[in-house]
Amino acid sequence: MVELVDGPIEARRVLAAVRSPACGAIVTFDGTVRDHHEGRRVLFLEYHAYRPMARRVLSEISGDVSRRWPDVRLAIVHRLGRLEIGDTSVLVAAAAPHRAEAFEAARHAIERIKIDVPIWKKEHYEGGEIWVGEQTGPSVEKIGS
Amino acid sequence: MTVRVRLFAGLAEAAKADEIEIDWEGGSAAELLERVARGRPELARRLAHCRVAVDCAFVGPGDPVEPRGEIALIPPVSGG
Repeated sequence: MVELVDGPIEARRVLAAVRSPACGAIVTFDGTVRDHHEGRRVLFLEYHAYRPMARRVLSEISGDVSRRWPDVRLAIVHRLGRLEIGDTSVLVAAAAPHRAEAFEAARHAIERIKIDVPIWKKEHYEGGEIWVGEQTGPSVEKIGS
Repeated sequence: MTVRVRLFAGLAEAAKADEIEIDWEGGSAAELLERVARGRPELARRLAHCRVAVDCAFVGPGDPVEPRGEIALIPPVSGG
């Protein structure tokens, strides 16, 4: 199960999607909005996506996990739009017969999400706003004042 | 021929547009980025950090980009 949502992520539904009598472990990664980043006090975030490609890449990541860990059941839900401090931006749940695979698969999934999924967060902080990850040179470019 | 190139995030903001048009007959992804940069030199530094996607799949800098399908420029991502 891979999904993009525009409102709060329903964790229970995500867990229900992977829970199975064959699985003895479910590992979840809950990515939450932090109140600080690189010395800046964060007010809120906005997540934007190239949606069709984000869905495709999330599906590819899911397929990648299936090949490496055939017994793992994986769910990934990423939220878009405005998120407040403490909100969950992404939930990854990996269920497996044993905990080792569950931990590994969940870890692998979130690491790949952070590298390849065309989703961008715009950080609104005290003093301005910035698209995280974008460097135009030695210093980070800021918009606003 | 004229092709549309989709932009996102900070690149779209800097370009003040969600897409731009360029003259493109085909070439590598790296050449495509160069072509965009030539038309919009103020975007050049950002473009240097972008990947190219065709029909929702990343292509490498040396891979061919035909003048068809959906071409998008992908700035450094920050999801997750």
